[in-house]
Amino acid sequence: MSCFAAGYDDSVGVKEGELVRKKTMDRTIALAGIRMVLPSMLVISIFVLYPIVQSLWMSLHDWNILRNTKDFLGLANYAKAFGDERFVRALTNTLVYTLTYVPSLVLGSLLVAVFINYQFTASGFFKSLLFLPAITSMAIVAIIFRFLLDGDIGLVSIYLRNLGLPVKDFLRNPDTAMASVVFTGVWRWLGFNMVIILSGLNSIPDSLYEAAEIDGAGRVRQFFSISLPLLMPTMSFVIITNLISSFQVFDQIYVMTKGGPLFSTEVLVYYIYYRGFNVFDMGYASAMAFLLFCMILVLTLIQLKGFRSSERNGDYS
Amino acid sequence: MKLSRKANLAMLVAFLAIGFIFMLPFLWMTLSSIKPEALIRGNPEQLFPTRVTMGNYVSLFSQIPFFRFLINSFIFAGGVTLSSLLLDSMAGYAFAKLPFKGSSVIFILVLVTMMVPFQITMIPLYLIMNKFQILNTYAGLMLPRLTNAFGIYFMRQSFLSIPNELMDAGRIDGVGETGIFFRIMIPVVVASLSTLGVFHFMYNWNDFLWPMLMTNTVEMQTLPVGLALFQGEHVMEHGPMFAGAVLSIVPILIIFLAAQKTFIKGIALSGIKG
Amino acid sequence: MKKIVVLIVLIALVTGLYAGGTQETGKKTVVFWNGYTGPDRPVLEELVEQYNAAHTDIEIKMEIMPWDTLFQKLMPAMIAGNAPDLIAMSVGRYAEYAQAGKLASLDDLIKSSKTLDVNKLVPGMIAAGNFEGKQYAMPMAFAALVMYYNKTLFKEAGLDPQKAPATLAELQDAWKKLIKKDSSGNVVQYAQAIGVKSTVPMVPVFMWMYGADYLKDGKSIINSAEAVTAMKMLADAFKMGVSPVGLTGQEADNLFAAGKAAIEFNGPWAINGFRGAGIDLGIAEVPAGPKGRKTWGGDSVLCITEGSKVKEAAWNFIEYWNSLETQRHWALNVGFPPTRTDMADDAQLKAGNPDIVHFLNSAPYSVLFMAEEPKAGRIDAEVLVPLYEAVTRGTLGAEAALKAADAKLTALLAE
Repeated sequence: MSCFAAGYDDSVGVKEGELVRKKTMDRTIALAGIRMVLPSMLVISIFVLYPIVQSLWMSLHDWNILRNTKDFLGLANYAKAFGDERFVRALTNTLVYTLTYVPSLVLGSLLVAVFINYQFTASGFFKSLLFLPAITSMAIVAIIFRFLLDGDIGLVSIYLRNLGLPVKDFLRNPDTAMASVVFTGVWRWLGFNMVIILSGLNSIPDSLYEAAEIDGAGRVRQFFSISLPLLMPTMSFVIITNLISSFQVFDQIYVMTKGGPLFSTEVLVYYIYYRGFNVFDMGYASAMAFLLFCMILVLTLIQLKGFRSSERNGDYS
Repeated sequence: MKLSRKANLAMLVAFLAIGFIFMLPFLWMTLSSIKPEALIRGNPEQLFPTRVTMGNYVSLFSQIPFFRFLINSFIFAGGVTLSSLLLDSMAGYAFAKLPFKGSSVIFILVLVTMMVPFQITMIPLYLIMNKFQILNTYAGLMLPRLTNAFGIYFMRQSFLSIPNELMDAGRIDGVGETGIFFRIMIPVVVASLSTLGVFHFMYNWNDFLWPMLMTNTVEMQTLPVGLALFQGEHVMEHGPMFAGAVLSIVPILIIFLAAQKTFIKGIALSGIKG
Repeated sequence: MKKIVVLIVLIALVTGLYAGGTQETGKKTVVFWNGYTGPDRPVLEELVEQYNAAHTDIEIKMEIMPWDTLFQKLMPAMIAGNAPDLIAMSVGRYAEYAQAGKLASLDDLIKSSKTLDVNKLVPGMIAAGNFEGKQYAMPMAFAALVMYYNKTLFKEAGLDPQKAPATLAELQDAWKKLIKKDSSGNVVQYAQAIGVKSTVPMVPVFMWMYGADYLKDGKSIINSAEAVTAMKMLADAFKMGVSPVGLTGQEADNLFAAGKAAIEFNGPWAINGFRGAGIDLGIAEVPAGPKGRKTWGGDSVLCITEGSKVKEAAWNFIEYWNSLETQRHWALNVGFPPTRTDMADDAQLKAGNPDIVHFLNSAPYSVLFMAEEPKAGRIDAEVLVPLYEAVTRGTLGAEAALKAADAKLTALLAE
């Protein structure tokens, strides 16, 4: 059962006395584990899990507060989603966003972290600089980008025009709107993920690299044989958390494009928000949210299984 | 790992280019905070102001109770961060190193909480807070955030990469599990803790949706909610908003730079080198 | 270390339990929500302070937040029973809540009022605030769309800056002269910034010029011959380069303020911003079309919630709000025309705010767009914006687009 913790060595050939002692030890540990987990679980159960359960309950009803209805619908809301053209389009948009955003972000932050780790001149300054976008609220970031990317009076368009490059009305053009929104997301979160990966890199002992260097391995080889394998726990964390959050992207779309132009950037959470807060159809909105949740859950479980083996390898001694 | 001159230069140049792209929006925002409103929308958009004014900062302090919002943000973000660091690391450690029956299922449950959009769960949560009569209070604001799934996951990963020898040594020495946690494990993960602390502080400092929902009065509102007062229906006062954004970055930046120092100290102390 | 942390958290929690507003006894507290953030806020706050100072038995507790936020919070607040007593909302939004029974009917309060005479208020707004025979909303702020134009750009184009286009034909003529393109054919100066989403209704003004309209007696009349003509005209105009496609209201404002568009239909709130941006501002009423002149009127109304326990107190504030002195102060400081019709010759008003005459003149022919339609917000987002975008981008021909819009609108109304 202890697949998530680097467990004890249950190897054979242990004397019986030691076995009893080990079992008592296991129990003490288990009790300590429960004790340590309890405070968090209390908070999460009351304030996060219970609202989730309530939302699930809402999704089974025709819950529209303006109409004061609460009829039980069973799974009708869920069935409705699959026939809803706008839901399907939102789903597609969300997938497009995720498939563009997550690889760019993960690869980008990995590369940047590795280079900064080489500690070239002023790398510390760049580390802080790249982290800066994460410090500002997304709403402000979106407002700034909306100004800068304006096809007529935005700085970016002016610079591009001066360089003789073709200028597109980034946020008003259905072809470029999604890319602009992805770019804003990457800009915002690159430094954040870079810092996480850096903390993972920093926990790899220098001695391993020194040994490899003595053996004649170049920097690239060192990266692939030492850094990458030992970064597996960190990378799995980065990929999984970013996947989970990218499926739920909302803020920059709400401020920058409001799902437009022509619904090209309307993602699932935006549509869910619209149905919940503009149409007041909380039942249907909750149902869609749970469909979204199921997708994320399945994906995450697959990822966790895939990473589990590398995590066990990551437990080195 | 020493870099050759060539490699060093190449990286520096590459990062200067990347750095410019990253800097530009900030530079524009900071410079706009000292431009008169008209120049922010000016024709053409210009990076550097032709006219400078401190009027936006003056508006910031005279039109909204900026300091009150600042203090509320500190209390909210600071309190939640401290609590979360404690609870997240305890839970993360347990999931990583203290197996018990069902711990992996519960861990998945924790991850699950990250997968439901807040826009949906905030209504039931608001209703719970209303029932407890703690709307518009610090308690109401902070209780749901005392721990955080992201933090638990993050700390678990940190603890996973610690060799078991350290725990075994503690157990042989007869130090209780709690003792092992506080006296052996925590010092080792100080770097991760300070990183997570920055993240938690940052996230709650900038959070708009939750404080907006929970607070009604100026006494309780946080900075992002306060800055939204400059967002008119038809007219947005960009100048004071940017001024507010610039000022609200300062505390986090300070905390981030301070955390960097612990970062380096933490690595030296963890005894991992060599 | 651990003990300190626990202590801090405990202290925060305990103080938290006592923080956050206490109730004053003996006074009736009216909780008032509105979205007047931005430059209007200080004026509103001042007026409320004056009211509170003058009344010992009533206190208005005002909570101001952006409109988006207000509506996001209103729903959970209503569910929890925490709804405010008095709400300001855009005239196009109240019908939804009235239909759901969340707003109090004001008819009795109006009848027994000693200071407020509905006949002295803008008739369009009173009519719009009447849903299914009952009055649910009273005017708070009245605004109309007028035509702003850039006198400098007019002069450069050879147009008389003192004579704004008065008819659609003159407007179209002006457009041709105002569009400037560079060597590669890109537009560097637009004639008119026309917003199609998240905006005050600019496109409807054109529709009304041709006699087209949207709803009648709860049925869609959007697919009419007049509408087709109007849409075709717009499609051609956009192709010519009159305006960028897909503009939001804010973007249209920015374009005009930046001097890159010569004309914009907008409301009174924009005046200070435009002048502050250095535009030599010309103001005129919107041009008349072949079938008449209509402009958008609206802005905000005051409603009392059904569950409020202090309805009379809230009504008292509404009376105060629509009084002569308050309206004069409001109009002078915020630039909105007053909600009263008996101030057209108010000397103080005219002296203090000469621009107001354009709005006062627009009042008689202003239309409160889809005011009593509860689904107005959804209609805009799901039917109108896609219609405007499709036509102005040229992705659909006018007939096809209007046919699709008509189908969508009918389906939506039937929901």
